[in-house]
Parts: sequence; structure tokens; C-alpha cells
Amino acid sequence: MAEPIEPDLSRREFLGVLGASAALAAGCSRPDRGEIVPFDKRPAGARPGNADLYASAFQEGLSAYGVLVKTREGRPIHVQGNDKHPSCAGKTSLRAMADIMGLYDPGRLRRPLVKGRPASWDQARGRLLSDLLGARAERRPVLLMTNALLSPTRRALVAALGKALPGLKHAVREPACGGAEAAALKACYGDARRPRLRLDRAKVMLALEVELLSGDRPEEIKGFAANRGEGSMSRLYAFEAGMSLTGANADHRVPWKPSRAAALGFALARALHQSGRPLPAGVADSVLAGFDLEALAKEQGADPALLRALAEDLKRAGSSALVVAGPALPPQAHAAAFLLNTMLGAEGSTVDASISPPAEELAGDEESSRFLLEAAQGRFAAAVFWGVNPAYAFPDAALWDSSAAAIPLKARIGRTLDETARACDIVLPEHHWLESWNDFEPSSDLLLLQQPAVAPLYDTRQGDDVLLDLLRGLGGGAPLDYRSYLMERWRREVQPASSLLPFERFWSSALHDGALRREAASRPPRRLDGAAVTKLARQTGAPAASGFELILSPGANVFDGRYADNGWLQELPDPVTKLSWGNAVCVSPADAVRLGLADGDIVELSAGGVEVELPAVVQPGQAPGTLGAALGYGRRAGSVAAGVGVNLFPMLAGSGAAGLLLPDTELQKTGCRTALPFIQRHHKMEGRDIARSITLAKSRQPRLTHSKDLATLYPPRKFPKHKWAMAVDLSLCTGCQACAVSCQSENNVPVVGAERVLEGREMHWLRVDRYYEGPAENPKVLLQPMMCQQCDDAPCETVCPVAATNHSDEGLNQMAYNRCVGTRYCANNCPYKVRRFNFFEYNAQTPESRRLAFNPEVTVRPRGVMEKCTFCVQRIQEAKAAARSAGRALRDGDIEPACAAACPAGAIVFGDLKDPASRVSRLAARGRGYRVLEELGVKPSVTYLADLSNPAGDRDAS
Amino acid sequence: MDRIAELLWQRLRDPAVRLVLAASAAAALAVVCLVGWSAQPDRFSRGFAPAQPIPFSHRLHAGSLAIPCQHCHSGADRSRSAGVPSLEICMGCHKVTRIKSPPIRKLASLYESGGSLAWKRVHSLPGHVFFDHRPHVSAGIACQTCHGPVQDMAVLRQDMSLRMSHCLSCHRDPKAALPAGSAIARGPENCYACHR
Amino acid sequence: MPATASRKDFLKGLAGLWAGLGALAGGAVIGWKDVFSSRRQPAPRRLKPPPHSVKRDG
Repeated sequence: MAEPIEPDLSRREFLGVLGASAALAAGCSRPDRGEIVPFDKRPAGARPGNADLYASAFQEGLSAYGVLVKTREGRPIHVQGNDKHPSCAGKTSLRAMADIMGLYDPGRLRRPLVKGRPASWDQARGRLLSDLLGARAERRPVLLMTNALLSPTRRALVAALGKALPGLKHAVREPACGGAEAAALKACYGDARRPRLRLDRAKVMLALEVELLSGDRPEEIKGFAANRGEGSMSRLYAFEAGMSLTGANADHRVPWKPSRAAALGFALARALHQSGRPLPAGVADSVLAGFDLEALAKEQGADPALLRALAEDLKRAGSSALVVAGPALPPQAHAAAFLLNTMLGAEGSTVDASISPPAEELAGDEESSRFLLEAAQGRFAAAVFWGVNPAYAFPDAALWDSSAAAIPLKARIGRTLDETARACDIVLPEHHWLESWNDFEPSSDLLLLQQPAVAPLYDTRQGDDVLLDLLRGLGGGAPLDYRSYLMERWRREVQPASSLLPFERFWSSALHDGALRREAASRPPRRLDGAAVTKLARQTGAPAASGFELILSPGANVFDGRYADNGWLQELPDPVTKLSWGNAVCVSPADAVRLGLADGDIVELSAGGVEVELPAVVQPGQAPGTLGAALGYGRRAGSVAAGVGVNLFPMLAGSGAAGLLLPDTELQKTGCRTALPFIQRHHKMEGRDIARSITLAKSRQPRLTHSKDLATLYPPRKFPKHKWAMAVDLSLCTGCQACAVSCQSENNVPVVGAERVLEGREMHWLRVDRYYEGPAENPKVLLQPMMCQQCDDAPCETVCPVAATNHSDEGLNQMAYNRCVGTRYCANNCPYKVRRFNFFEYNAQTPESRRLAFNPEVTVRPRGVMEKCTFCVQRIQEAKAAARSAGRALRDGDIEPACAAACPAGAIVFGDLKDPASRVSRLAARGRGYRVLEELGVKPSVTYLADLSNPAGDRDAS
Repeated sequence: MDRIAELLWQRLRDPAVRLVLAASAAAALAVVCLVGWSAQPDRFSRGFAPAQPIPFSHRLHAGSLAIPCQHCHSGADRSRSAGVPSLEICMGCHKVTRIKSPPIRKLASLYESGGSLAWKRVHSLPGHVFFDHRPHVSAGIACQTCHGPVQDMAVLRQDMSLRMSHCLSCHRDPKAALPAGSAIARGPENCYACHR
Repeated sequence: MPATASRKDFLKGLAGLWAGLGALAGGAVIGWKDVFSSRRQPAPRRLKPPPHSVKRDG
């Protein structure tokens, strides 16, 4: 038997030590609740706890949109539309809302770099200036490559720089804009100005391979939505290869090869002419003789009766008709569209060129190649790349490399250390647009002002200021900063001579509003050059190519790649394929069957000697013999962007590429597969009438709902003061997903990454579901925003073991994050699957700079907690408190959840059902109104209005 | 089964084993208690009166001088937080009053140098509570109802429990807190009123 | 099995006990760190407002 071991410490002493240490610990930790640090001097109007709004403007390529920037404690936290913008009135581009993350991008350059080493601004600028002075002395040219300017002040600055530096060659590159449209405009009108599309005036629209209804076109969506109700109903025909939102929303969509789009246009022109419409001067009958609608229909497998109905509709609509050809189509198709619009009298009505801003000469791939060839031969003394990213987006990478090597001094003005910055000797870090001053002229009757919403975060300068500084160094007189330069120009040229205000008042007022309407200088209407149209028509013939017709389009969310480092935009799925975190090539169901392809099979595409490998997706509705894929992926720089997707820009370099259309592409299986991070995997409603569509004629039938028939075990709830509800009009919704971005911004919804999306763990509170109905060759597409339905008899509330979710007396399903222990039973029970669970610390892992974008009015959720749409309860509470402080009652329209505020179509309406006069009450009572899965008896608070479709033959387009 | 029980009983005979078992049980208990205690909301609620960087006296300013609360805490009726006055507000009087006293000189030098004055926070709500002063102020509830007799406090202390049960008890029966003739019967009792 | 424990058995048992306690303590430390690292982060810092911009009123 072992001997008992005597402990060193007696029991009594041991417990004593234990107790003492606990007491010591307790005594030593003094509670510290932190500090409150007030202002030294409070800036006028600044109030911690209240938001400030700044009007500003967002520019992307050839468009600019007004915005309002909401800031809290000096931090911009949300971007929304500018209510004072004349045509968009409170709506803005989806990417304007998402690009707030660009301000807080942890990858932003914080100081200049010279040869890869941090340097001061004086050093960096000094180097660049001395090289430019040297170039001028030696009479050697200097290359300046920028994005589209769109700003009259910026244009003036570049022009002044050109005068001070005579060898300056300015190339404007927008890699996502094909050059075909500009070429056609120049040939047929002698003027490359892009007209404004007035969808609000259009009763019959023909969309040829064009996306009009995506989130970056709020004006078009708004115009389209103006005519999608019982009161006034348009008819949209879409002829396209791939499925776009335009095709998804069309009353008639016809799969059509892009190479035959021009032929369709000319055949329609012929049909119009035969039924009495005169041809414009210079276009002879004989030119159109070869185009026959019936033959074309047969060739493309379409219904000839439909094409005849299209011709009829166009003719009847006359000046209310609109024909638009897309950027991927060759100039012939654009010419056909111009011809049709002219013959129909749409010119000046639905197609308005009278207020187009001056056209910018875009250097397409051919012209850029010429510049780079010169560079490769050592012609340029220096090059400045401002905003553009040719190291990534220029198709001929080899040419880029040799040119870059041959340019003695390369400078880059940009925000991050992207592919081009890495190749440059001098890197000058740029302000984000939320820190910048500028003006933009999206049309000649409107000037948008961009002003900073925050003082610069880092030691950066506005690109315009860099150029201004160079201008000064080169001897051109210039004010000290771009803001002064801008104000000077406004004082001289913008303030009307008739204005009686002192300039400072005029300027403040313009900054306050963010938008200034102007008298557009009257211009003689443009005239179609019949000879040019004839020439292009004669070039239109059946293509000889045997391969696939591949259309490359800018990514729906990442655009030309400049937003690839934005997690929100990577995770936001393509609105049609619902694929996130990468691109894929869309293949028609027939071709997929023939080749034995399934979603995720990796294929090799080759065109003009260039080969790329990327995964395939079977796309219902894709025209057989055609392929579609998105540009803007496959970046090599960026913590979020690097390695996501495949870079397809090199394919544009292959010989035979006509802009964005590659007419002879080969596709080969590689035998490899990859998992594709789809946000939505299932496309069918399985007979459950979730998203409904009715024809206009049938919309007068009795109510679609049957809530009165349902028995229930639960006693009816009482809502004494308010009953919050929403109405979503599916007829107006185009599926653009601007609502989802706005919700993510407002509610601190995290980004989870591709791995988690593969597991189905994306966190979007609001998503747009997309259903296919009917034959895969050309299905009917239904789009439906889906958020928490705030069910009166919510099945999630009854199963929470800790009562973390219950019902408020105002009709909302409440989620108390603090109580939630993460059983996830509620999500299991939710019929709409709108509850999202924080499986990991998505938010805690957010880098500090991105946390600055969080909305302080909304909890930042930790791991283990369930979250979901709250109808933006923080906005409801804010409106109630503000109304109470002001001593007035709440009014209908005081409260606008983020999704409703963002929707360009105005499809989402929020309000109080206890107020019979509120918009939502009236909409909920409409005959078209129904609730999703109503038969379950959960009593959702969201009423959907069935989509209205207006097929030909149903009745005339009104 | 019996053999195992027999074996265990044998082990327990050994005082060394008994000691280790007792100590480990105590240690485990201590760990659980310590973690649980640290994770609890602040137990030192009422009476918390930290020393401030400048010994500002509400008894003097709000009491003797009878300066209204919202003169300094101007956010109370227009923002969620009542706010703490900027140094400029303080200097509004103290440019001329008591300029020789050391705390005022400290204040003045901070203001001149653009430094920041970090008051120690007294009233603190956890992050999952979104309190809004506006409905309370516009209901006519006196500041003292929740903050206590501030005009008597030389050093500001937390007078009222900030626990949810305390807030709810007033929401359920606010008559004592509301001014006479108020039309309000109850405050909100639904989660979303204070938690999001 | 012998009716009485040998010293080796005792030491093995003791080692096992301490290993278990160590695992418990390690878990407690990791849990503590986890709980407190994901607790309320410092509020995002105030940024400087733009000096010349004009705000919307109200």
C-alpha cells in the first residue's frame, strides 16, 4: 500500500490562498466605462447621433449620377440617390451605392511610391515634373491615358495641360465600351454623341442584344417602370443571344444570334416601308430587298407571326416606339436601329440627341494598340496612367509588357497598388470620389456637382490636383487647388449672366442641391446619312463562321474590373445566372446536351489564336450557337479580387474580334470540373405559384389571394397604433438588385466569401429570386425580391427556445440578437428561408478601415446569432422619434426602408396598414395583390403585386 | 462494475488523490465563476462616481447657478444622445469667470492647444441597447427622473439602475415620471423599441 | 487486477488528471480570449468633416 502523501499546503491554507486571490482580482479591476470626448469647437450643425447628408455625384464611364452621402460622426456610411436630380429623383446607380467600400478599402495607397519605396509628395511630384520638363525640352511626346472625363472642368484642365506640354497625347480608354456604337454614330450622323433614351415615352420597345434594365441604369429602369402598370402599359420585345434582365422582363423574348441582329433590323425596316412608312433620303428600296422577315424567322427558329406582330406594333407606335442596339453588335446593327427610329419618328421623341453632352473620343483597342506600339518603339518619354488599368484590361498583354518596358518614366495616379501601379515607377495615390471635387455633364441641360463628404482619410491628392500641379510646374498659370479651378470656371462660365446672386450664394446653393439645371444650347436635330446606312446595310450578310458567337459583356457588378476588389459586388450575384465570386461562360441547353456539359464543367474557349479556360453554366434561353461571358474578373491584384474568376480581356486581342463580339469561337471540354458559388441553385417553383405573372387582359379578374379561407389555431393579433407592411410590385421590379446593395450597406450585412457561398451561407437579408418557367430553350423568367415577410403568425417565433424572436405590437417580427443562442430552429422553420445565421465571426474579422462603414444605428452581429430583415426598424424608430420631437404625427412616406429608397423602379413601398389612405394600404388591396405561400397560414405582411405581361395579340399596346 | 467501484474507493483513500481532486474541483469552479463573473454586465451600477479630469461640479452649475440641463446637453431633444458640451461652450463663460483657478486654467490650455478633454463616462449602456433621449424628453420627463438629483451632485454619479427591469417597470407604469395631464399611458414594451 | 494500487498506477492517474485539468484550463483560456476578442469593439473613430462642402439642412 502506498504511503499517504502529506500535502505541502494544508487544506485550510489552500482555500485561503484561493479566496485571497479571487478577492484581489475583484478588488483590482475597476469598472471602466470608457470616455466621452466632446468637440473642441463644434462645427455648425454637427451633432453626434444625427446623420449629415452631402449631395455629390458618381461618375462611371460615360454616365454620371447624383447621390446623397449620409455621414455619421464624420464617416460616410451610406450612399443613396439625390432627390434633387431632375430625372432620377432619389435613385442612383447600384455601383454608386456599393463603391462606398472603395473609400474604406484597406488596400488603398496611403502615400506616394517612387520605384516601389514610400516617398513624399514633393519627391514623387518632383520626379514626374522634371521628366515632363525634360520631355518638353527634347520635344518628345508624353502619353496620358485616362478614363472618360465627362467633366467640362476636367476637360478644360487636360486641354490646358496639352497646351503647356505640346507633345501630350491623351488617350481615353473605357475597356468595357465597345467601339461599334461610336463608329456607327459617327458614320451615320457625323457625330458620336450618344442620345438619351426616353423609355418613359416608349410604348413599344425593341431591344437588340442590349441590357437596359440593370442596376447601373436607374434612369432607364425608372422610365421603363413608368409604363408597366394597369394605367399605362408598354410592350417590350427583346432579341438576344444571352439572357439579360431586359430579356427577362420582356413581354416577348426571342433567342437570336447577334450576327443576325442587323438583318432583323433591316428586315423590319423593309416591312415598315412596305406598309407605308417612307424611307429616309439616301436609302433606296433596293437596299432592303434582300432582307425578309419570314426567311429570317425560319432561319433563327422564331415564330414568323411574332415578327409580323412586332412590325405591326412598331408601326402603330410611331414616335412612341424605340429601337436600341447593344454595344456588342457591329455597326451594321446600330445603323439598322438608327434607320428604324428615323422611319418611326422616334428620333427626338424616345431617342433624344438634343441634350447629349459632347462626345468623348474613346481610344478603342485598335487605337490604344497604336499608342502602345509607338511606346514600344521608345517614342514616348513618359506616360501617365490615371484611373485606367491597362496592365490588366488591355487585351494584348505582350504588347503592354514591351511598351511598358520601353517607356522611361511611367507614373500612375490611382487608389490602389493594382496591376498597372505595380508596373509604374511613380505611384501617386488618389482621393476616392467621396473625397473629391468635380463637376459632370451627363447631358447638356444638367450639371452635377461632386463635393467631398469627408476630409481625405490618407495622404492622397485628387488626380485633378496632380495635373493642376504639373500644369503650374510647366508654366501654365493655375490656381493652387482644383477646387479653386472648379469655382473659377463656374464663376466664369456656369453662373448665368442673368443671375442676380453673388457667386458665393449661387455656388453654395448648387453644392447644397448637387444638381444644376441649365438651358441646353439649342442644336439642329441630327440627320441620318442615308448613304452611310446604305453602305452598312450592303455589308450585312449571313456570317460564314462555323464556331460559336461569343459575346463578352462587362460584369453586371464588377463592371470592367475596377470594382473587382469590392466584396459586396463580388458576392452580389449576377442578376440572371445568380453566380457570385467569378465568371462563367453561358451555354445554351441544346448545346450543353450536345456537348455533354453541365454547370461547373471547365471548358476551353479559343478565338483568334487566344485560349482561355473557364467554367461553363447552362443558361436557359441562351440562343443555340452562342456563348456569353463577363469581363472584369481574373484580376491579379487586390486582396479580394486576386484570383477570382478568369480574365477574358485577352480574348479581345484575337484577330477577328469585332469589338465585344467574337463570331468564331471554339469550345472544348477539358474534362475538369469546379464548384460554382451560386447564390441560388434551384430555378423552379415546383407548382407553388411563388412569383406570379398575369397578362394585362386577365388583370381585371378577382383577387388572387384566399386568406379568408384559411383556418388558424392562433388568436388574431391586435395592432393598436401601427401595422407596418410592404407592397412589392413585380411588374415594376426589373431584378437589378439595387435593393440588395442598399440593404447590405444600411444593415451592416457581412460578406462571407466564395467558400461560404458554396455552403449556402451567404448573409444577404434581401435577395432577388429568379425563377424559370416553361421550356429551357426560351423560358419565362420571374424575378422576385424576397425579404423577411414579418409574418403575423410567424413560424419562427414559436420554435425559439429562448424567446429571442417574437412579435411587436406594430407588426414586426423582432430579433433580439442578445438572447439568441444559435439553435437555428427558427431558420429551419422559415418557409421563405430569409433568416441568416452567423456561422463565423464575419464582422469581427472585418479590417478596421472597413468597419468605418458600419451603420452605428444597427447592431454588428457576432458569431452564433441569427439575423434577418427588420423592415429597417432603425429608420422606423428614427422617424418616430423625430416626429415626436417635432410635435407632429407620422405621415405616410416619412419612413423609407433602404430597399424601398434604392429601388429605381419604385417597386417597393412601405407603410402603415392602419392608415387606409397610405400607399401600401391601397396597393395591398389591389386585385393583383397576393402573398407568397399564403396557404401556409403564416399571414405575411408583404403583399406582392403580380407581374403584368403584355403579349402581342392579347390586346394592342396601349 | 464492483471491481471498478472498489478500485475508485481504493484511490480515494490516498490523501494525495483527495487533495488533487478537491483542488481541481475548486479550480474548475473558480474558473467558471471568474469567467461567468467577467461576462456579466457591470455589477457596479448604482453609485458609480468616477473622478473626472477636471472636477466639474453639477451642484455649482446646475444647482447654485441654475443653468438648465439642455443649455449644455443640447442634444437631448434632437438626438439619441444628449451629448456633452464642446469646450467652446465651457469657455463661453470661463473666458472670463474663475480664470485663475487651476481647473479652469487646465481647461483653457486644453482649449487653446486644441487638445481633447476626455471625461470619464458615468452612464453606460451595453452595445445591444439603443436608447433614445428624444421620446423621453418630448414626453416631458424631467432629466432628474432618471439621472437623479444632478443639481445636488458635486461629483456626478449614476443614480438609477440602468438595468432593463428598471426601465421596463417605468414603461409599464410611467405615471410617476410623466408630467401631470400627460396623455401617455405606457411606454413601449416591444423588443424593437430599444434593441435592434 | 491487484487490489491495491501501485505507485505507477497512481502517477499515471495523476498525470491523466492534470492533463484533463490542463485541457480544461486551456479551453477556458481560449474561450476567455474568444469571448473577449469578439466583444464590443471600440467604436469606429470619428473622421474629419470636409472643410468646404455644403451640407443638406435638417
